[in-house]
Amino acid sequence: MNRRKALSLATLSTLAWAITPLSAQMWQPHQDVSDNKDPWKAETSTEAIKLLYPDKELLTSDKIYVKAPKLASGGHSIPIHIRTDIEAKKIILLQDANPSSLVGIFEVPKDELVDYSLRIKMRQTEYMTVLIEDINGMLYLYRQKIEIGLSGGCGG
Amino acid sequence: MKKNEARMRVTIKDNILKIKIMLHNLMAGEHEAEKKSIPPDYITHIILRVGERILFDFKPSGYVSENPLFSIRVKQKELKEGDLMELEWTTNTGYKGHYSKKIVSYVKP
Repeated sequence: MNRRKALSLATLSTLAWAITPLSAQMWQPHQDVSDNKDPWKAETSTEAIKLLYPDKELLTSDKIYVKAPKLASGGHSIPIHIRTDIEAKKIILLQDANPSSLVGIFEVPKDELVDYSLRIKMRQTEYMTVLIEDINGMLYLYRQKIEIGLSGGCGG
Repeated sequence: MKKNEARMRVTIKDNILKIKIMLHNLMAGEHEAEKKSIPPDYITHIILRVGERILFDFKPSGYVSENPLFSIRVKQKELKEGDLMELEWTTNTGYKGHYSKKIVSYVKP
């Protein structure tokens, strides 16, 4: 091995030693990629869910009944009806159309019905997400795309 | 309480209480307020109870529509006609509102 080869090998090994701990720190699973740690300020529903429940598996269920329009005539007042037979503890409503994702959190009182209707705002065509946390801590997800028409409030 | 700040309708039918709540609020979150050049004004917590029993507990953001309208259904259990329902809400400015209404039986129109 000549002097040049030995020097380049030494430099490479030093660089590898310096970079390894940094890259391991950078690519940890479930690490929040943004500096934003507040779920109320999360820009997407995925980010908000990750902040609220960092290591939970998301399941689907046929016991979630959500009634929302596929096409809304205006984005200022979209009716959403949420009903479920799951014994829920929390219901989280999210959307991806606005600068912040979280619309609201329903804290379901123990042994009560889940039958809520409300109206939400959405700036553009995007997904609306309903996340249900049951009393055992399991998470159930429902997503629906809502198209926002440009015809305005009268629908004509 | 300001005039017409809240409205509520509570009816009992088939052991289910149907509750409609309307609150008078702009629901202008930070982004919307900045766009409209007004101070942010939105409800951050709504709670409905009868005595010790909590019926509805919701924490909204500024993306619930203006003058929010909620419709909920709850089990009757021990509740009866004449019981007083109390609605309390808090806004981002720290304002606390209160409204109460008695339960009435469903009358077929």
